[in-house]
Amino acid sequence: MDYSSLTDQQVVLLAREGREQAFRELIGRYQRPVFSLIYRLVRDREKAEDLAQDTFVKVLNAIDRYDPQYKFSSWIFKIAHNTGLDHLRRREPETLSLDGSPHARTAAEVEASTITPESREETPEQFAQNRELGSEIESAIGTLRPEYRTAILLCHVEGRPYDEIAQIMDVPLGTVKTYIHRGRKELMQRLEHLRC
Amino acid sequence: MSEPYHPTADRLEAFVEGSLAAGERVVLESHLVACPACQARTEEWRALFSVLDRLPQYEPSVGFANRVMAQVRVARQGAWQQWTERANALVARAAPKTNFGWSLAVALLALPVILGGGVISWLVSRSYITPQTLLGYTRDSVVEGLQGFGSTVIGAAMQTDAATWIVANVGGFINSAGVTGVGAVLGVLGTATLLSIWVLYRNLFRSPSRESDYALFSF
Repeated sequence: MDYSSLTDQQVVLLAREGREQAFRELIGRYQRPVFSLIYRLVRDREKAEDLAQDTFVKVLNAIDRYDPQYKFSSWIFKIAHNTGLDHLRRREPETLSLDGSPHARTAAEVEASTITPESREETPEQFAQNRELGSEIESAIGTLRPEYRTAILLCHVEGRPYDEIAQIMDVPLGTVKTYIHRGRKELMQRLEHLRC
Repeated sequence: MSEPYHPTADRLEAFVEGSLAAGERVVLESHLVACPACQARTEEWRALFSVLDRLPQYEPSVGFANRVMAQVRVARQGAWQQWTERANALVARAAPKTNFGWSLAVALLALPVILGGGVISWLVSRSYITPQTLLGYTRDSVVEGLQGFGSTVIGAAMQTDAATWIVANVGGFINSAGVTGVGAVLGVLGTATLLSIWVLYRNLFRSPSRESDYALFSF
């Protein structure tokens, strides 16, 4: 069976029948979006892997309780967002750096906890420029309130409409608009020094 | 001489986002043609949107799916579970989807309770009617009515052991429970009626601002 041509809802029904391939299809579809969202929330690759894993385990073990009248993406993003927020609330306040987690003790840990945007096909000069811009923007996003961060990322990176973001974050539509508007304004201020 | 009109940063953001109303958009576009300062500010917003839209997605490390699957319980559903699920889905589809629908359903459910409860309460409140005579009269009327219809099917059903058992036991219950028992049954019916009225009131005559304030009740 070609799972890739099925909708999320159809794959979920197959997963409920106990087909392992359906579970793997759902993981394949959402591992990058879910991991990216959590990674940008907690800004620690190792921790993000653990939390993304927790998110999938929670979702897939509760697949029987999924209500098909809602989008599967909304459900999994909601759990990912809550998992990330719970972690941020639990952990001690700390200053995070794009150069790796302050708790990293070895070179491997620094590497594991460093945010490095994936390279695209471009000249070395463009790559350096984009990497710089990428770092600046990632750094600026990292300073936003977690709620602003999630709203901005769901809107711009995942392309989710405002009403779905409201459902994911469990806040009214107006609040989502405010989060995104304020988040963008803060980003504009933080990136002011990059303007020509 | 007055200051020239300049759109606010919020308007420019909405313009770049494409969420401005058509009329407002036309006014702003005509202003941008003649205002280099606002053009520059619009470009800043465009640049921010462009950078955000091009943010990459990150990949978890190799073996992520296997690590997840190691903790997932993949249970094959039995036939009974599949049928239960389909039945649940059918009920979910048939259930009301709106507050008005729920109100109507509750009203329909409450109607027999209200009417029946009212009639029984009125009858029992008469001094010359006791629960026993009421039951006897009701039973006789029902039996006579059914027999009067001449329906062979219903007539046959009433003569079955099951029908005799039900009539005998309900009668027995009333006889043994007496006024207290009947009062308890009426109390339950009355409570259900009041609850239904409350749900109707909350749904039809109040306009709560939040969905969670709606009173929903299902039997």
